[in-house]
Amino acid sequence: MNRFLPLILAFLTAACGTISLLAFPQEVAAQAAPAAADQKHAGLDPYKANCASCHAIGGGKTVGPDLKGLKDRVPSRDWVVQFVKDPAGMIAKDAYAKELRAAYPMDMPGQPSLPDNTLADIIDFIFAGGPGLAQKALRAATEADVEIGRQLFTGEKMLAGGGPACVSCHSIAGLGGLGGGTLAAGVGAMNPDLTHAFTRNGGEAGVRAALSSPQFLVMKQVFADKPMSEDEIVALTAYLGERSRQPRQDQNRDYFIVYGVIGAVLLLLLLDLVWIRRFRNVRKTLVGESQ
Amino acid sequence: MNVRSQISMVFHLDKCIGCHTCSVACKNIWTDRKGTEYMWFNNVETKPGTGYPTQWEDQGKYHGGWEVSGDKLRLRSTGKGRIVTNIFHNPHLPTMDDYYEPWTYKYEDLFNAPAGTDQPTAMPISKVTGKYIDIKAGPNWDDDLGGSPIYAANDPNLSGLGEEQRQQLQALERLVLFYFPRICNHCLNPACVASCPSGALYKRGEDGIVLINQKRCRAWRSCVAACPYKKTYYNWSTGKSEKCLLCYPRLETGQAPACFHSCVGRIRYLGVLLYDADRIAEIAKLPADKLVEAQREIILDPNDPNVIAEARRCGVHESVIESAQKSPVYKFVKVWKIALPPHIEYRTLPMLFYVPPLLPVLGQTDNNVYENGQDVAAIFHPFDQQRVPMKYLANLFACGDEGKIRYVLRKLMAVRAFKRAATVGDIPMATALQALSQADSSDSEAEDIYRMTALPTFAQRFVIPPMHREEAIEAFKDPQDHKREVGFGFTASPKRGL
Repeated sequence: MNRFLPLILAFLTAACGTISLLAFPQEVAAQAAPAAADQKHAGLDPYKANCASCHAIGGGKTVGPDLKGLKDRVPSRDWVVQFVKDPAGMIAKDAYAKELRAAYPMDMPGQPSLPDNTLADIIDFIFAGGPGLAQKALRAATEADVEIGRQLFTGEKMLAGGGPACVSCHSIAGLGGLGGGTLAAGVGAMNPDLTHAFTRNGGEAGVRAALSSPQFLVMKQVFADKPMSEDEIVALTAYLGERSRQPRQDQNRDYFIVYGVIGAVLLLLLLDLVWIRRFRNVRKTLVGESQ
Repeated sequence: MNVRSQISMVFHLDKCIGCHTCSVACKNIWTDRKGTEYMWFNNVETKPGTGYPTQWEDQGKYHGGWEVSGDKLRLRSTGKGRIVTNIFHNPHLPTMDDYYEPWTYKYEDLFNAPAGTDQPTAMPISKVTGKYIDIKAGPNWDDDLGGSPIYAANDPNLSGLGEEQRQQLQALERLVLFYFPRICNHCLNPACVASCPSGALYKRGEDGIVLINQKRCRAWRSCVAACPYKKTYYNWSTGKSEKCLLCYPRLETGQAPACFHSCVGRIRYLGVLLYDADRIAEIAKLPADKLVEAQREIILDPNDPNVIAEARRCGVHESVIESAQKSPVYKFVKVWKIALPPHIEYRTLPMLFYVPPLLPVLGQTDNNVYENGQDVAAIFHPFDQQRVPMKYLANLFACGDEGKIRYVLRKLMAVRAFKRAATVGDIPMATALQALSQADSSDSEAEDIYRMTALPTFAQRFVIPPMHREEAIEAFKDPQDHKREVGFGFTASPKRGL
């Protein structure tokens, strides 16, 4: 509940018409730190590309922990390097890593292929408190965004950047009929059904971040050069948020079979009607043997 | 005029004794192979009856043959569009049950049974499943009396008969039957050829025999559905359809087809007819009551100098023209007009003709004496009193026109009266001659009919033309080379697929 408290407060503030809700604390933090630095930090771009979808600096915890004050929390800089390269290995042997893992919904995806100097830049950047990381304030969602988000999800409305509609690979509660796609399951996503993605992925901030620069195996590549616009991210997040408040029901898959069977029976009946006068038999009918 | 030659047939039903020797001869030569168990290129049906396959004459069920739609002739079973929609399932095929489930007997039981007080029996075994079967039907079920009155009562040719007439046909005193042997009619306008999507069926140019190319057949089975006489059959083993080939390998060597050769009653005649191929499309569309006459019309007189000249121009060989002049079929069909095509209303213009049978007269008891009725000096009965209704024969051979049947039967009767007057003398010759003139005949014609019916020699019954295969082969290669290169049997056995 305390995660929503700032949101509610922010809505009230937004009524005054100036600051967007989530960005409110972030903006303060982000703007305060790099005010003097005109020079762009070397770690800024790689951080955005690789970390920002799950971690904020000073923006509160999303999918992963807030990296503000990381320097003071971790045992050493080397610990961070090792953790980024092989999170699973660290979780297995390191007590602090294990403790962190317990507090968050998923393993951090390892980045073993990240070049050492880039990683060093990123860590410098984080330790410096994220200078220049202008957490752009996305506007607050409105009632209309939920409907727009639904249309974007189902593909009724195309994504401006040309990316595929969510429904191609994902399902969600309330689609009705045959439900959504199942391709996400095929590439190892933990849960292709996005009904509760909102709660799983760190609420509004987390989902917005995840959509801004997706880190998921396939989505990362699919959306690499077809990013979603800010309005789309807001709308989709609003829709996912609205869905997550629906009562839990995971029935979509079963309906598929039921609809399939009904459809097949109807098709057979139709074929029978179309060829109602087809040849069946002559002799059996004649002598009354036909059933 | 486009003169072509056609080997045609006449079956004289008055002479058929229903012995099935023809069927057995054919079966032994052509259809004793795997996949052909149920096929009878030649079968003999007992009429009234439903035949083989059951009720094959009911095209409302089997959709065989042609129908006129507008000013066009179209197949009932298929068409250019329908062949696509039915490509994976042809909806008009008879089922195995409509033919019959072929069977044999477990003969070894006759030898292996242990000694006992009763006779060992050979139980019937299905040739399909190899298990004991309860035989439900056969290719000659009507004659085997294996069914019931149901079969005879449901003969499609009984349509147009009153309820009373149908009831009388069932009465024991009136019970009547005749035999109806059937082979492929080698039609002038064959529905099977028209229906084949692969172009595997063809009518041989030189003699009009309709054949299925076993290499081109792709098992669509359109011909099975399209043939109104149900005389093409599907071989499940080779995946090809097969049909009567009029024993063309025998014909090419001057022998009559096996069913003709073996015919005990000598009912079968074979010879060449010349016809005008240009007029086929036109006459096949005529109203049903004009079809019999029209078909007779396009059969040309082989003695007419004009026809001979045209035939020469169209490449009909001199020896074939000579053969046509001696053809017994020409006499039966065109000169004497006593042979009629079966069910010409299917519009395939069958080239097998039947002389309809004179059947026993209605019995009546007069003063407790069983009388056969009286007519020409009380020896021959009036054929209108035949047990089988005239309408029935008309449905079978004349599109329902009883007049055509009457014409034939009157002539057959007059010939008998004439010969009776000449040989026995208990009918006055004047009465006989009067009967002949009433029957549109003369004493010389009656003598000819008598000789061709009762005393024909082998060579008179079967006038087989030289087949001139060399002429057909010449179109493709040197006949001498061909003769050296072909051997006996298949160069490649029929095989499924392309």
